[in-house]
Amino acid sequence: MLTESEKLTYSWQLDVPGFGESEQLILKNSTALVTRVGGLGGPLALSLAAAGIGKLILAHAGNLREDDLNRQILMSRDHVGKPRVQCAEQTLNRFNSNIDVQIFDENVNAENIDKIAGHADIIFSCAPLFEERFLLNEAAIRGDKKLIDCAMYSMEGQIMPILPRKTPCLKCIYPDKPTQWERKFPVIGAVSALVAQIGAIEGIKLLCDFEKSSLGKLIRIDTSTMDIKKIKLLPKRQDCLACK
Amino acid sequence: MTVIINYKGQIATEVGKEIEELSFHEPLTLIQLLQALSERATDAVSDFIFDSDGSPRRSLLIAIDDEQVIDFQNTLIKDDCVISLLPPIAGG
Repeated sequence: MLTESEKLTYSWQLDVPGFGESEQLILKNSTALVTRVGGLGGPLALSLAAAGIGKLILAHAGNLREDDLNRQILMSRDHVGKPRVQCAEQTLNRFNSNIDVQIFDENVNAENIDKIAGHADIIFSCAPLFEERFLLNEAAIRGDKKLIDCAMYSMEGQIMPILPRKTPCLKCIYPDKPTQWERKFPVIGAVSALVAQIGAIEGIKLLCDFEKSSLGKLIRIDTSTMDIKKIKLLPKRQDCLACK
Repeated sequence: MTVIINYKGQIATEVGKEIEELSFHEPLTLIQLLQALSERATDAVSDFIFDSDGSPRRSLLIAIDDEQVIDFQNTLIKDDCVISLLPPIAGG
């Protein structure tokens, strides 16, 4: 049941055709893992909190640096030197006290992935390394969890919603380890935030079975030209090592 | 025959542009097109397309007219098509 306070908080989105109290309840009863909470994961987590997700699990190691501040908008200058994930938790709790936030001051790895992802209904993968993204992809397949892979580079971004074993997974489109990806990438915070918003919308649609999801498609954004395209992906690979 | 090559991500950075129009006198397959691109490109660009043993990189997503293609040997390039080269990105 939604409380009277929740009905008031979410009243403007309850007016969206096709999104009613039953969809809001699905969100309230859902747990989302967002990893990490930087330029992409941060605004994504904020939008999930605004929409009324029941529980957010956040994973991100390390302390905030000054050069994070062009994009990591859950943080502020007085947070420099403090654990990012704690700053994110404070901001989200101030923003929406109705949601639960669980934090892990660590990045996803092979040892902790089941502990961190185990209770999530949906995973939003926003990690800057493919090692983490592939672990999250495997965890989603193992646990039959919805996955939204969100990524950006410079003025571009992409979002790939995945239903394990039904639609192509991350390993289906990148069967080999991408060796040329570099940890440091050019980024304007607004581009990350835009990718985050599309990822959040796709996740909400997938969780609530609301509107038309982009399953089987790779949404590509190029903000240098403001082109948005959907690349039609082939069905999942029969020889995929992750989801066959 | 004329085709548009759409460079994305790190390839666009290496090539120094996002779009290029190329003309060919004879029909060609996708693998032949990639080889032609590689021959005229810098080593850095070529490395995004082919691995060290000369095979097309399986981590390079290629779309023709916004549809993913993985059969490089048998896919015939059509006049006026747009070929997008999408290297993997993971920025967050």
